[in-house]
Amino acid sequence: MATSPKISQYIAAVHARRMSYSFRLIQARLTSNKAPSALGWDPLREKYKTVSSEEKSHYEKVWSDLYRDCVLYGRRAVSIYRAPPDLVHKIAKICDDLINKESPYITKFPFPLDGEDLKEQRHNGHFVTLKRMKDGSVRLIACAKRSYAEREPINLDFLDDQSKEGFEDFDEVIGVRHGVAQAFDVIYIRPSLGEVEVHIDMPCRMTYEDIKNARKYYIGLIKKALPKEVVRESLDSPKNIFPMVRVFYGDSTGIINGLSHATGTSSLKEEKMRNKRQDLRSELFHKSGIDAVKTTDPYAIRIGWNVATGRNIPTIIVPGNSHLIGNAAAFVGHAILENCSGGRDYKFLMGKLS
Amino acid sequence: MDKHTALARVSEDLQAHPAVVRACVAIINYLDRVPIESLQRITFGTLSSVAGYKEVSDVLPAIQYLIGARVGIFETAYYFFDPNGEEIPLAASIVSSAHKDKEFFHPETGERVTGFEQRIGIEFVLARDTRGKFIAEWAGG
Repeated sequence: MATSPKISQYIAAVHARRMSYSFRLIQARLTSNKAPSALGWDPLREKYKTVSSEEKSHYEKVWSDLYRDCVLYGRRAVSIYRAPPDLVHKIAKICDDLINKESPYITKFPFPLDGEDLKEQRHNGHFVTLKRMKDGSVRLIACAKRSYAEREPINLDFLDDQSKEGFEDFDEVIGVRHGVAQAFDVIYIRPSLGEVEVHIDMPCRMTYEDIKNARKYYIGLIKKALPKEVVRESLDSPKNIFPMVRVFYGDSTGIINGLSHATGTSSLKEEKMRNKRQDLRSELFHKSGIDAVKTTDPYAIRIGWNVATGRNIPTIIVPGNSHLIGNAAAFVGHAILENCSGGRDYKFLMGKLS
Repeated sequence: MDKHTALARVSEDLQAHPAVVRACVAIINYLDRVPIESLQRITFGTLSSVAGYKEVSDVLPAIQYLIGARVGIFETAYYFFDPNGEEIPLAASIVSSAHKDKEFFHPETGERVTGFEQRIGIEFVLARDTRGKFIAEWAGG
């Protein structure tokens, strides 16, 4: 038996991304690769404290692949900018200049900075690496600090009598934990499509505004690197995802798990299936309601698709809000992609957005 | 088992508990009345209201009987309700291990959950036998 510092490092790095990549996916990946799995992180760490010498390199590969996929294909907010192919080509050319060679993130990449080092960073991201693809596309990866607040119930039984004082009248006491997480944002420059895609990593909860600000920051860095007369009015606004709500509502291949809509009978409905594998459109309450009112105006949707492995349902969320229904120029700048096991699932969802 | 056998067993077994008989009969008639699509998830609240109780806990003896081997209309289904409002179905074996080991891990984040007992809920689904034979006989009255 031997220890593997590499596996420990991967486990810590995957754990840091637990809000964007489901533990169920980790369990499924480990099991299908014949690597030890467990019910939670604590027992999982125990299982990898020592590993057999014969299995060590296999496990290291499994964890390395898992880490890569949870970094690149965890929960992300995707925006697509359309621009003249000439301009996108120029951006692809100057991408090397965007890399911040002094960035502290580079020293640890592809792993995240340690907690204290990360806390010291500013929220704005740094481009740390790029990869040039065969089709002329460029994938840029940027690292950034994200702050979050986590709410967790406090079990009063663990407190002594003095500490419990004052809480007698409460059924539940919630603690708030503030923390930071490292994001790995990805920007694809695709000259052949005339597109720039911004994939904002969500290693913790983010608001619509947080996502918008992060995406604008990266687009700003790209624009700054080009002469003003070249950029002009381009890359000002991403593709409007809002019309996709209606498209997805009519997509019979998917499973609609959640829908927000406004009815002609003057109500706003936020409907959600409790079982994510069931389609809201065939639910009796929804079906009868739609039959009665004939039409409805959907403004937000959550839709997933079954994949061959059957272990997860890659899902797209279009995060609309009810104020959009009264707006002829209703606009949503990003869609959220989640529950992807790896690149194949993620690519499938991107195909649905294009 | 058909509806009439179920009702006969209720009357026979629960003679000494007329209130429980009334609740069981109301629940069985409810299952007969509503479309099977509406019976995918049955909550304590629904059953107590169907049985005419104001307090949800009053319906427990009737549920206990209807889950039991003599009638076996329902099966229990377990769910974990996380603080963010997500609910995750749990296998009975996971719930049983959690209670035995006094530890439970969030299925999506893998983190240990303190006070998990309050976040695991029970609901009811029609027993496999009920969904097939039982309801096929009852459906549409």
